[in-house]
Amino acid sequence: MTGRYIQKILVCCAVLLLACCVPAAAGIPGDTDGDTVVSEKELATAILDHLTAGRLSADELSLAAHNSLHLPYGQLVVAVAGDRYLIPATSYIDQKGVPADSLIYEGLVTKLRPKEGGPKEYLGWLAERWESSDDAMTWTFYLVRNAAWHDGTPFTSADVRFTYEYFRDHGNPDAPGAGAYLVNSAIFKNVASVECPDDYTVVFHMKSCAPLFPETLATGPGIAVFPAHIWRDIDLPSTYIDTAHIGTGPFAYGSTIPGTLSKVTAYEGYHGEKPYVREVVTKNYEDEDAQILALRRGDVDFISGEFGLSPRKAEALKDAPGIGICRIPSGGQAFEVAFTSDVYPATIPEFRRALSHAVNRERVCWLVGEGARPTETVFLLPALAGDQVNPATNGLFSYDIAEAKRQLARAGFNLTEENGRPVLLGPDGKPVEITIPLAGKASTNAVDQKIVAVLKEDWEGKLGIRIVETPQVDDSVYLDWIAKTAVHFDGMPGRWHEDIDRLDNFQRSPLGENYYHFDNETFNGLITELKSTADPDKREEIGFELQEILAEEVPCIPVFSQDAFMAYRSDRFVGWDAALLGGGGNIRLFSEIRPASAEVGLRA
Amino acid sequence: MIEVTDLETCFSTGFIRRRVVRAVDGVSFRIEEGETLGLVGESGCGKTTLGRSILRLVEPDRGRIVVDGTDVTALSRSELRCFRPRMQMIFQDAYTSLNPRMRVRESVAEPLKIHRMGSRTDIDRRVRELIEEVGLNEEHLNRRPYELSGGQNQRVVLARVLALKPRFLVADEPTSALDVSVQAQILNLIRDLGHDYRMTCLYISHDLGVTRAMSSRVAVMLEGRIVEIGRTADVLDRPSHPYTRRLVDASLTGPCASLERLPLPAAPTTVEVRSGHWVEETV
Amino acid sequence: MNGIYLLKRLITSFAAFCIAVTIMFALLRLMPGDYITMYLEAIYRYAPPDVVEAFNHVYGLDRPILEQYVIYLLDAFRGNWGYSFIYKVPVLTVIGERLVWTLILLLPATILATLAGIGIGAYSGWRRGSKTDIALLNSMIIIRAIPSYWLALMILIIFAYYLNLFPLGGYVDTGALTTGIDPLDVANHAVLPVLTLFLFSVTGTYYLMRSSMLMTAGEDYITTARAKGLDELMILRKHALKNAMLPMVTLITFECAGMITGSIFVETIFSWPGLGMLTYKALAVRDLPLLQGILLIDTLFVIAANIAADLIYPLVDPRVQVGDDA
Repeated sequence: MTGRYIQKILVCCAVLLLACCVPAAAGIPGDTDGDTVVSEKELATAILDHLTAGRLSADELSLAAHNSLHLPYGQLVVAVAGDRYLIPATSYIDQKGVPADSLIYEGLVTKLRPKEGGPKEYLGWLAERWESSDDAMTWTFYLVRNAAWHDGTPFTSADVRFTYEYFRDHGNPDAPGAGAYLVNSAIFKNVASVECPDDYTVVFHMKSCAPLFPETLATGPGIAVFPAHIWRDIDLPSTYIDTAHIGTGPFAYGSTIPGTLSKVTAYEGYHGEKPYVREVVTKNYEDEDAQILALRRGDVDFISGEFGLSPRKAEALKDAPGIGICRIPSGGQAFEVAFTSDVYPATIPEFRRALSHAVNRERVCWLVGEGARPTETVFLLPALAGDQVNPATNGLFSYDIAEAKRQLARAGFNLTEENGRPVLLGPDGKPVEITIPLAGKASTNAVDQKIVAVLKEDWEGKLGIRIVETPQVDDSVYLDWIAKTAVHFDGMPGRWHEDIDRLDNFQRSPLGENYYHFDNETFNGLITELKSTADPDKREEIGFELQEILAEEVPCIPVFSQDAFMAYRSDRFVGWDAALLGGGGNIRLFSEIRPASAEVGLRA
Repeated sequence: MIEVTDLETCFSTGFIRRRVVRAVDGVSFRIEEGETLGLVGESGCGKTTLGRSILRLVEPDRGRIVVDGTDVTALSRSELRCFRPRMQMIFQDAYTSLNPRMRVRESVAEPLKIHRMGSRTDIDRRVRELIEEVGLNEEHLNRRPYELSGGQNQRVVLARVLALKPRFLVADEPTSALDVSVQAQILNLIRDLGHDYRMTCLYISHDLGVTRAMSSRVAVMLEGRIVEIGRTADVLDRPSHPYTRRLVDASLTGPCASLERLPLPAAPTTVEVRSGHWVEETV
Repeated sequence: MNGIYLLKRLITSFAAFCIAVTIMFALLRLMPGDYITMYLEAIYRYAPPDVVEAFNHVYGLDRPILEQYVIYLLDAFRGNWGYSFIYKVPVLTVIGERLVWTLILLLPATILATLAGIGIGAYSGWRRGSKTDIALLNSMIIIRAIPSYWLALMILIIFAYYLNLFPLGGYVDTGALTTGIDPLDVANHAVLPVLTLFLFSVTGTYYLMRSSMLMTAGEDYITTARAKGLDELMILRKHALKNAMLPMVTLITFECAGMITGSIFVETIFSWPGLGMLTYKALAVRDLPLLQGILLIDTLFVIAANIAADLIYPLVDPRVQVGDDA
């Protein structure tokens, strides 16, 4: 037993030594031209190398052969933070049924990141292609024909229809028996009926115009297709514990050690491009520092997380041997200074407009550090929204204190001095004082405190607006605070800034107020119109108009978006950056990367 | 016979500003065999420390102690341990000087066992003898200290001391925690047993009446020094040192406000006012 | 010890339990924020009111508070503690699983820390003022002063990362996915967290034992024992140690009760799936049934520890006689 540990320690030491000697971006053994594919010719050379010169070891040759024949090889270890990312991910069940991002299950489509300034793009999973009627009231998906569930049952359009029906039937909270209710059943609430003309075609009939239906299926939270032959008998999804996890994805369920480890293995019968990795082990590290140590030591090959590593820690990892960092533009949160439009002085549009010139983005970004990029648009992020950004509204909120002063004066504010310090008197003649509550999503990495620091310099020091208080409040009461303070901060994930459809964020919704208490009739009307418009050109036009209103009314001042940093072992696997930057989630990532070190084969 | 020469014991206190307190400051006296010397003084004058220093329960810093011809100060640790049974001590509070977890039988038998004084049956018999000698009976043997009264506990302590047949006994106010009626019984018991066992005794007390009854000679202690020593009658009836005079006055008029501080000479000299009655000269 | 006393004790304990349960119920409902709203806001930005309503209806959270209370009490006594919102399994199952892992760390850590704390505390108190005592006391103060999160992290970095002696977290190696859980492997993973927990708790035991020993060492019966010519070791063993140990009984029983709450820092840094982390997660997302379950278990343990301390005391200290009100 101890022998095994000594052996293990020795192996680890050897790995460390190796990691120090091998250059950071190691190639696949035998791949002489560096295209990450070992061609037949290259393989032949490698075999000769091995036999004659002994330059390639038997293990390396085996890796080269697996690559050449596209056979799954080796083990990839992924660090996650939290046991909810392990399988069985029980927490998903009563929310969206089978866990979509588990590598085991697939939906119909998934979203890709648009090229900067380019159009929206999707990647088909179980759907080969799809089309909608001109009024976007009917969506037809043509499914892949060679897919089969991991237990061998063929995948057909019946499974897709079953998924819809399952959500529909479990959307009623009054159904007998607690636990029969799926929280996310609302995803399909716009679907009137589903038809299956044949085994590989599904037609969704919508209740109202749904131009973004693929997007609904792909994100926020998105759904995966249920295996009808298994879920047919499950009445209470909330308390059902799946032990087999039969999906159609590139990886099939292997085994689990509760709370710490789970494993999936490459599925030989996968309908798409088979993965190059044979096993993916998910290991839970609750602490980010422990994750980084594990990556440095080589216990894990990739750190998975919604927003990646915190920027400063990623910066420190940059020069570590054998480690690569992928920087995803605007992949993290996007931060903004937001107004509550019905609280004085934010009730005055000129005041909001004036302050849009008083946010020193460069300085905030400098304080935040690595990966913070100033936002030039009024709301959408160019890296995510592509061609939906209205170029005419870019750069309108430039930092210009003199302009801010001019606009404040024009709006009836009076800048005076008291004890040598500037004081801004409102139109009512009283000094302008504001409170900014600190909490919520903007408190990640203490960004909110950095923004406050910069605002104090300009708003207090130059414009005379006193920031009286910046109380730290609990997230659960943040909404109440927002309702009574004129200014607050927000830091929503990038996906809230990627589509004109997300501008409904500023609509006075039927649910009540929005986060900004912003209520502009034209805007509300345009959003309603957008929701029922299918024609892409018309949509773009409305979207541009919406952004112009935002530029004029300034319900919020975007500050910066955070790039995400993903860290991986570049000496063990290659092909990370393309998949990470392209989007498409972990299924795509782990299917595309290729083993580059015989060591990953040894540990499997 | 006990002879103490120039004994000095210091304590250092304070962490940052270290201060040395001389609890016993150059004390010399003799106690003849079988004699009881009373040691009086107000609390805090160093009586208890002196008593403990003589038994080396507190290590003295300087001086010489000879007990029965053995120089106690020169003994090594292990030699001292062998010598210990010959000098014993009883404390003010009998209850705290008994291990609360031990029964009377165990407490009295323990010294016999450590010093291997006979077989189990011998020890058992001896324990019973002792307990009767101090005026208790066998049924008390199975009790624990908290099940006995203060007087009974002090009797148990005496039995435990006697088990070792000590030559020298330091009694540190053994009755001050007791009721007056019980006090008398215990005092008589100590005096009688001391006589029977031919023990030399240092009797520490702040009660002049008790001292008069118990001791043939008396020493008066003030701020670590013996300021007056002599036969009980001489010292207490014709006190020569002003401090002794005040003590005697206070004992007659009853407890009064604390005694005023007397200026003491830095280098004291003593004079013999009458045979065996020495007094420190005052400023 | 008599039966009537025991009965009385049980009745008062039961009353304490009921009061604790009520306070808990009230506090949990006074907490701002609720599970479903927080969950929905995280994914939809706005929580659709109809979904929130439906969820509350399904879990009976829309009923009158008194009705909820009665149902909760009845269920608590029936052992029906409900399903966890996040884990979708019966609360008792989740707690049971985590409790095992918590105990694997805390049992050895507490036992070792208690023994070591008593041992060196006794030595330190007995040899008061000696060089060893000063050295021990100061090192304990230093350990105590180190923030626990930092200490845990340093131990991880030094022993696991730089010296490469132990794993970086979790409780089994990836190999366990194929071969199953190997107790030796678990032990190997437990070494560092146990060491950290040991360092956390040894200082407390040490302090108490040292001061208790200082008190005992000043007692007259110790001086008497010395005067009797007992050698030091014998005095320490026969007279001092046992009496100085008395205050430790309380400490030990409460450390045992405290064990089940786990340690959030150690469990987080070493990725150990114990009760501390579970409590933290349940609290963060307001998983009411799970929180109620955890708090109920905690209450039960503390009450049990109290009774145990009461019952153990007269066994170790003959002076204490429970039930004699006289």
